[in-house]
Amino acid sequence: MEGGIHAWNGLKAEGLPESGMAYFTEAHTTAELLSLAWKIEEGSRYFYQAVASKSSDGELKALCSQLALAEEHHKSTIEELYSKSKNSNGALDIVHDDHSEDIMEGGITVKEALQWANNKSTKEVLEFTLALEANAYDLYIKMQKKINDGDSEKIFSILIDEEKQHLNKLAELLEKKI
Amino acid sequence: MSIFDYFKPVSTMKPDEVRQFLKDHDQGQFNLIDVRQPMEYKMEHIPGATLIPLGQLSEQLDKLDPAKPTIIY
Repeated sequence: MEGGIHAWNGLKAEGLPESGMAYFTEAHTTAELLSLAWKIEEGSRYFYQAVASKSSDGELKALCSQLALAEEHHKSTIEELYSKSKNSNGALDIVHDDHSEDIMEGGITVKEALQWANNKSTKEVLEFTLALEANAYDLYIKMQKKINDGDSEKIFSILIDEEKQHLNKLAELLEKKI
Repeated sequence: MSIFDYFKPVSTMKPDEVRQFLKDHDQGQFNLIDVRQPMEYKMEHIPGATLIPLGQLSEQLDKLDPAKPTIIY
């Protein structure tokens, strides 16, 4: 339901960047799917790092720093395992220093997400990041089903497990902040 | 190809449409799921909603009847 419980209660949504977008299966090759995953990890890393540097909430700062590091690690995992994969035909379509098209899961740009997050409460930021992680979790499950080789499936298994852990950490902190 | 080309719009329902839907259907004809945290659910929720926190959704899919429409908030 659009706007969640706030909209149900007749309150105006405060511009939460609800994506309203879902990944679709245009990407076919292992390289395409993993390039897309890498870009989403980079977008999320950039977002978490920015939130960590701006937030005045110590616990949110600490968790976002931890998640930024985890997303960085995911990018390396994708690159490393892809290079070892038997199906690594063609290079991954990734550019390390270009943030012009940084995107987060759901088709939201990092720029939009950061603009929204500016001056938002810890609870609001946590609700938003929970939705993002849940979307990433869902996306990787779909990608894993689409891919038909053991090496790449292994990459997605790692990402799926870790996104699940991120979800749990964010949910724990949100429960504390309510 | 732009990265945005990998995403397509998803249809959602506005609160008034959900109200109308709930009015037009019996409780057993749909799944109404609250994916917020337990504390938020305790404070308020849409009558008849089942709590499945987002992080537990994949483990509790058996609570959903796939034959019925599902509304999530």
